[in-house]
Amino acid sequence: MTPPSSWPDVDGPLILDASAVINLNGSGAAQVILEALEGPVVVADDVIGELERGIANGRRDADLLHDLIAAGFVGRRALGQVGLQIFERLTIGSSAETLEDGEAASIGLALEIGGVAVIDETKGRRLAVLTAPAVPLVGSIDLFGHPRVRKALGDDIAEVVFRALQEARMQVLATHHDWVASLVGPERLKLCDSLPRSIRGG
Amino acid sequence: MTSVLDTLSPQHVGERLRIAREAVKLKQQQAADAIGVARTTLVAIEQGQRKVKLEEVRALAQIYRTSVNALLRQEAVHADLLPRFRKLGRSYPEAVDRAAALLNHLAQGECELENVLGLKRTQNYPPERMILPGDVRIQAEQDALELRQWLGLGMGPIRDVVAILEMQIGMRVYIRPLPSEVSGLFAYDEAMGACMLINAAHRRTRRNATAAHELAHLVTRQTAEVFDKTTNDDVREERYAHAFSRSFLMPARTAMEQFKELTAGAKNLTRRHVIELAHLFGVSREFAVRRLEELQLVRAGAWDWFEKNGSITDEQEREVLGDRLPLDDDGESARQPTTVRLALLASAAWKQGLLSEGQLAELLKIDRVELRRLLQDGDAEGSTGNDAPELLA
Repeated sequence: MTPPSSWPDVDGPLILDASAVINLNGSGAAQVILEALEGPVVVADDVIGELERGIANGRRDADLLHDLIAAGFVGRRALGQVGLQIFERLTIGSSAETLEDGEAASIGLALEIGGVAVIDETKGRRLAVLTAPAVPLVGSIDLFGHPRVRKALGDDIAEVVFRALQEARMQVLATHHDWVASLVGPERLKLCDSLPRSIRGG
Repeated sequence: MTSVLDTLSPQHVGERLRIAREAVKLKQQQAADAIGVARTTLVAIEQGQRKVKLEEVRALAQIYRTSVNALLRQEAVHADLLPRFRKLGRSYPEAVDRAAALLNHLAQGECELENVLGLKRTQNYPPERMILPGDVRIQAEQDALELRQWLGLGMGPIRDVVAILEMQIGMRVYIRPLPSEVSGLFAYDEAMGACMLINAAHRRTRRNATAAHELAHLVTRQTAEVFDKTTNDDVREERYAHAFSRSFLMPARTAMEQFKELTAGAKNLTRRHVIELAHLFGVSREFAVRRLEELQLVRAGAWDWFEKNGSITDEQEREVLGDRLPLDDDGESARQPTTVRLALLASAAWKQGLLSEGQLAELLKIDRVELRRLLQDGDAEGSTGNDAPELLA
């Protein structure tokens, strides 16, 4: 079974939100995946700041991201004027209509540099469409389902996706539930608490 | 394009920035230096006399170890409990400071979640009792008995004080591990109500006594109090709180009746008596014996005698109580990164799309994967399950 293709027909850089970084780290195959994607992959400085605040809670995602940056797999960018305007609109206001800094900056940066934002959450995607409709969106699961990534991972793809689901509790877009279920298999699926019970079975 | 920041009240923004700076104990000069402005500029920003620029808020959020969204989203609650604890000038400033920051953070997180979800916590606070001139112990005894009646508790033993504070009185009670010298903290805030933090590292019986002690501070409407090992009876409020907790947990007449039953035919107070009595009232062995001394049921110095003569051990307690030995049932929940109520509120806000994962992680000060576990475990249906039975009210 092949994953549904939700990749936009755009050749811009990929902008990773903190959630996508955590999912890639959880998969244990971040370098292989990023290398296979070939195009430039970028994070906003605010995403690094958000992950660094998690260090106090014992998370290593900031360190792993710094390693990816140092090895040249990921670039980092500060927001310019266009990005800052989006950032401001998405961080200041009512709780229901705003996002955390990293999420807002990722959308702002994507608009500014013509990138594709990797956003998993329903709320983040809704506000991205409202605030920056020109920004194409994909989810973390799309990174795993990209044809070049599947080719690079070969038979390991099931294990890598399973680790992201288990270690990082990755959310999966509803459009990809069937693919993930067939990939991971019924036994391991039961262990993936981030998936709806209807998918996990049991 | 109109700046969103410019539409906010500068006084409001300034106040939030001041509270955030004080929370990380930075001086105005340090904050000003860090963002490259004069101290007078920072003062003007905090006082609302100068509008802050977006790049300045971004820089300040970074050095205050928070985010722009946490500082400036509308429903965020910016509680200011820390300065009032610092004014108490305890001899464990670091331990108390950390505990006060934790209480501040848990209470404001819960308040914001309530605001976002449009909920209001029911408060059923007992009538205020001023501490009057004269013997505070007599007042405390009277007030504790009145409160028991007011709560409909009668005169029997109370096994779980915390549940009464949370469910009947509507206090915000958090049980978290604290430095061993701190038993608990109490704060009363106009916006957040009465809040209490109790040391999870202490035993259930000791936590009961701490909760009853802090309840006394709600009765007398103190604004902040730390109960630690430096707390002593020199201060009238503390003398009142100690006496209140003893009377609340072991009302005189009930304690006398139970003592008479337990010691019928005996000539001495034995370890078995103490263990049974402490178990019955849900208090520590020392607490029980000291109350007996106070009620003149045994001579003063009885507890000291036990201490000098091998004390009363946990092993002896296990032998006496056997299967009746209660489990320390708060142990597991205290190890969780947040409280059950906070987790449920967070899950509801996330499911309704009101707060994102990033916002919740920042609000609860936990990392994203921990948050995902909390959101997903809090709801056995999984991340997007919505087929569970619907609530009718």
